[in-house]
Amino acid sequence: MKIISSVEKDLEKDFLDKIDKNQNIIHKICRAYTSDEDSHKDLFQEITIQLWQAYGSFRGEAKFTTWMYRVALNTAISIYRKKSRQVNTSSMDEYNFQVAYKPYDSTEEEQLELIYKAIQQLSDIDKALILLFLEDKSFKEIGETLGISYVNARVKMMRAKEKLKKIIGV
Amino acid sequence: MKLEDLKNTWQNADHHIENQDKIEIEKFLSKKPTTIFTKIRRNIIIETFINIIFMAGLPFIPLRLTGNGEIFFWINYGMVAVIYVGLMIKIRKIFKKVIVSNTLLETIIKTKDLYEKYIRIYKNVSYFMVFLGLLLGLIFRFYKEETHLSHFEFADTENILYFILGIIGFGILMFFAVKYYIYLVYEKHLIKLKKNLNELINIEK
Repeated sequence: MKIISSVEKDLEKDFLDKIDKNQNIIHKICRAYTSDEDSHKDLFQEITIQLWQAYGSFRGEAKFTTWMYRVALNTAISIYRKKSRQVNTSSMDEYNFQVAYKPYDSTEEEQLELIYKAIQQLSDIDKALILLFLEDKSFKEIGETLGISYVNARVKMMRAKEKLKKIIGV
Repeated sequence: MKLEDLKNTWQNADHHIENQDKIEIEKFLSKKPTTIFTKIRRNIIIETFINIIFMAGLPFIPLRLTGNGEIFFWINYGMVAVIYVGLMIKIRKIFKKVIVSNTLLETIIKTKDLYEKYIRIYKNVSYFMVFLGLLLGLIFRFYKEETHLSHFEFADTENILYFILGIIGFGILMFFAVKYYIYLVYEKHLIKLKKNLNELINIEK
């Protein structure tokens, strides 16, 4: 019994270390798929739980971050549902303040804000495509993450980028 | 500004998040998930609890049923109980399945199918419950009082007509109320899932 609990503890520690290092991935997905701080935290928790539940079956065939992306996107798009009583009352500015409140380069901050605002106007699938594009994932990886062919991933990405350009005005 | 510039900004943005107070993940590991299915489960528990209270209290309603009325009542009562037990077994089986898959497409399809199956069962059971409820109403109306004779033999035609019209009206109202409740609580998410699925698979559109 002691051996089992020690293995479990090691597994938990290993998981927590990995998640801690890559928290930013979950934050980015949460920020793209939610519009207020409460939902952000709620989705963050849900993604973490799903990752933990699926961690036992992670064989290391794909990179940990790629696997994280997959589970996080699956959770955000398919099984996460906002609390019905949760009313979106916080404004976008307040929300942005909560997510990144430390001072840093204003141009970069403005651009980042612009990206998030544009992403939030996209559909769930286009959001996933753009997030993967921004993370510089290959079309093969994008296809594998979404479950579509390489060709379809290319075509869909092209359309999603067009929509993003239109929103941003570039 | 080009999209490639945005990509660079995005990738450099990690340090912004690192600057924040990081969320302590450890506390989440012991928590229960709040997916659409756990919410359904919670709703089922609440609804079942309300129904059990209603069902348990029904025989104590101070309207004495005699003769055929009593038989009809207990048949109806038994049917409702059997339907609920069946629903629980079926739903328990549905929720034992694992949802999150390797790809988004597979996860959406699995979630949609499971959700659709649940809504179909739930809808049919709810409509049938409305029907049984109306039947109970009829039983109470025509077999109350301490007599072995049905009230059909005493009531005048006009009253019966009003009552039947009332029952039909109530039935229609309940049907739409149940339909709207299912849409509001469950179907909205299914519509979203279907939309996402169509977007993912319909490359030509």
